[in-house]
Amino acid sequence: MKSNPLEFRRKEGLKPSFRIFSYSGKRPKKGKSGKNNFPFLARSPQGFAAGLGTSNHFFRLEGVCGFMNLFLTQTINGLGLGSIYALVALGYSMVYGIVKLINFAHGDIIMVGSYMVMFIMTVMGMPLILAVIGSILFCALAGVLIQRVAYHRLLTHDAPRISLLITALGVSIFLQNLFQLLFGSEVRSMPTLFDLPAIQLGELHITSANILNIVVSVVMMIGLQTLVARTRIGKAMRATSEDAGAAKLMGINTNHTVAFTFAVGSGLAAVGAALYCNTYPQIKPTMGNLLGLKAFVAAVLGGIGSIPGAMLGGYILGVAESWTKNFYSNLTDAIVFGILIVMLLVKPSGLLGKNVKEKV
Amino acid sequence: MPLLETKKLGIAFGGLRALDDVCFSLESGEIMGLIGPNGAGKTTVFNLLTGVYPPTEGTVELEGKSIIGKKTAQITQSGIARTFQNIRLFKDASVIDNVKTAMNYQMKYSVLSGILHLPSYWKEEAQVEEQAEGLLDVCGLKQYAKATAKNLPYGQQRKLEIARALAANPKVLLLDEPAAGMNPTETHELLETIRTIREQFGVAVLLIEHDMSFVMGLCEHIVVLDYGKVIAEGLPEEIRTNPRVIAAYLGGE
Amino acid sequence: MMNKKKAYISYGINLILVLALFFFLRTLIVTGVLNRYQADLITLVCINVTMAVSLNLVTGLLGQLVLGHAGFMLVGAYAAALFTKNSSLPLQFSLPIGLVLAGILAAVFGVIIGIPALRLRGDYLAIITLGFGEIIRVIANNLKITGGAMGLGGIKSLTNRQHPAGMLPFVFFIAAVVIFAMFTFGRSRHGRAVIAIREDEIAAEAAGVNTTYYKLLAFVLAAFIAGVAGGLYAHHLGLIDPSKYDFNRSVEFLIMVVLGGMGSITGSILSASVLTILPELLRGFSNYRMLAYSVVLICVMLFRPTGLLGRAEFSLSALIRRITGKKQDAAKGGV
Repeated sequence: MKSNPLEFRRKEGLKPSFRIFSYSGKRPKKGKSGKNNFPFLARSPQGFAAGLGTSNHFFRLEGVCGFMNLFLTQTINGLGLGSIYALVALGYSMVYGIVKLINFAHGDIIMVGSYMVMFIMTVMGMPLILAVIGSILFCALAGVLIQRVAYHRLLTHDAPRISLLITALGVSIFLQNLFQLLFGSEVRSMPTLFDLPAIQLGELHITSANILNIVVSVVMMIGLQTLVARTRIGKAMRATSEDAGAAKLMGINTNHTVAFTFAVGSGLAAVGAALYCNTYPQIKPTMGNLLGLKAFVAAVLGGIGSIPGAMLGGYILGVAESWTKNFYSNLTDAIVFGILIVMLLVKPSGLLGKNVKEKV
Repeated sequence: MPLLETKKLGIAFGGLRALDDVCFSLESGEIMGLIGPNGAGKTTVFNLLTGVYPPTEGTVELEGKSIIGKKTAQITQSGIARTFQNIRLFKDASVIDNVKTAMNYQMKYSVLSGILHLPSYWKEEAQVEEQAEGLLDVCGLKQYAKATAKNLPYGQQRKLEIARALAANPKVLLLDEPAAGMNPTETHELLETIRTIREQFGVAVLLIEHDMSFVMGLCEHIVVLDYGKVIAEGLPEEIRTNPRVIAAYLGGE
Repeated sequence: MMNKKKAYISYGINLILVLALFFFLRTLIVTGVLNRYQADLITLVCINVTMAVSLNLVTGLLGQLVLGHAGFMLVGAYAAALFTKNSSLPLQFSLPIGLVLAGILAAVFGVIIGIPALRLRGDYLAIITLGFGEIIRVIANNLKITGGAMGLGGIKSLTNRQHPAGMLPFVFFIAAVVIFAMFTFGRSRHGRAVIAIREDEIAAEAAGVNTTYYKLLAFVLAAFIAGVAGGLYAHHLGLIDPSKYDFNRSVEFLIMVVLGGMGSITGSILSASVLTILPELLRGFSNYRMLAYSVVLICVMLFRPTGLLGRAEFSLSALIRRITGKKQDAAKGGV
């Protein structure tokens, strides 16, 4: 392996964090300690591979090793969780970008997706892959249906935005209570979904669920980014979000575009739902509440309207949550929202968001 | 000392220099026109004068005092009020409330007096009511006082914008295309109204307008902007015959 | 501005009506015509009306979205309850002081959140108040002084077996005063400034309105009232359970405001009352209740996006005029 992750990190200007964890007094020698303690910080594919591919023999000191292990485990757990937030956040971000609506019903789409996976697998007895695909299709359809029935009229009638928001809340309440009626309000256990082997790196145990989450979310983000940047419908989406009126005059069918955005967002939420069920195999009708809220926070954190921003926000939130869970488990949610508030005060447009000023 | 004076005023949006080295001065009681082709930076001048954007260079002085760095509301309170090119009324409020809102900063009674309707509330509200009615009368809007602003015809909405700006008791009134979308009769009425306003309130007026007969008929002094720069300045007759101005409008070189 | 004499007549009539309503309710409760459960419901209606009307100030008049109004209620609940619990004064005296403290503390939180959030335009207030509401709840769940997740119990109430209407004067008259204050605030210069910001912030600024100040004023005033309502609620229930003041609760208040008509005080009163009483009447159908509620909510929003009353106010004098067919100048009366 040619690239040295440590050097990579130096280039990225992340020295301070490097110092904290090399307090054994010895400076790691170049070449020999060719490993990356922060695989998540390695932004190049080589760096990432190097981080995963080397053994963890440097920090053999008692305590430090335990701490490092815990730290890394929590980080990877956090990234796994963050991937789910990220997938859901993409939906919030896209919908907000295009119709300026905080779609509070989006969180409940995860719940719908989870129940669909369970329903197709256990009740209909279909194989997993069909369940996942079925759930994605169902959610995409549900997303479009919700948009058509609940939002379309308000969007075309230029209603106050707050009415739209209340409608979204109404849809959220509707979905939760509908599924409560259909499946009962109690917590349901999910069957095992993806039974893949875990990865053992030295003493570090990485569950397959986490790897799957991270890989799937990255693939989805790249796919979505390509969709938005390269395709015709993507161009229509960008145009509609910039100026719906002008887009319409340019011959873009904004109705279709908005519906498509809802479909894609809800489909992504269903993917998130499948991953969620795989990672935390318990579902209930109100599960979308907090999950959705946090995914929304992730979207705002990363900069609403930005696809990489939503991903970044999701990861940051997941990792922050995972870290704090170990130390102040009760305050996790407060910390998550605290990060959001601090972020908004420092950079209101979010990490990767654009600052749009109203024209006078 | 001029009432309003800009020196070397400039602003850049990213790499784009929207305004560069804009200098002009306005004497009290003067009616001045700011003209130029579309995109010349006229409205941007207004935005700088009213603190919507901070200029990247140069100064703006009102009665010798710099207004750079002040917020829009503070600038309005110190004596520069404006109207907007795309009408920005308080649509769901009544016509008279639109006007009274601009008088808010000149009123004194506290939140508590307002809620409890103490004597100071009644006294000041009565005064403001009278003043607002007077202003509406001048602008020919008296019969609409109780109407909702958004229900006014277009031309009257433009007049209401002027009435609202006047209510802020300005020394300088900035009018952004006041005659846009008006028919010749309405334009003529507006011309008379602006003259009356100047006589009655002693304000200086700086106006942006594309209707040349309106500008030439009303303004005593004209500044011409093109590509963010002042290309000509002078009396209406001078501007009319200025070759650079003609070139800027007709696109010649 | 309306005629001074007419205004006082209108206020006078409303005062008489409010007093009559109070003594009517009190008599019903004291004589036992209404049982304890129904009396509690009346108290709850008053508290929810107070909350909805205060939120209407920010959402309806100022046009800003708040998704954490229950957070201010929680702050007020703890402030008032901790004061009365630790005070040696009799409850009749310590409760009013506690309520004022509750309002002040909630207002302080309002200032802390409002100053950074209200400088920005857009949905920031919504998101930041959402975050605040959740943070406050989680912190309350973990502090010793607030009783942790178990909540704070043993809060004395003025309502007991001997005095079934003990809390009624407090909740009723506070609601009445808040309603009155919102009406008059909307007609003062401050109210006009706040409405101007809702209509067009840039134009308001250009008209010399100090927008940051007025946004903060409306927001903090609403927070103050929510704090007082929280104090009342704590003393009504006798305990504080932090989980009852979550995001969903904030949403409930928001729905009350929007459903009644944003900017319409009478609309808020009406929808807060209906949305408090109706679920209790429909307890038997609890399975379908929320489902129906959500469908109704969506339908109202779809077909009356500005809420049931829009921005109009229900006015007694207008109603009388309509009935008697007389055409007079609109003397806008209250409830």
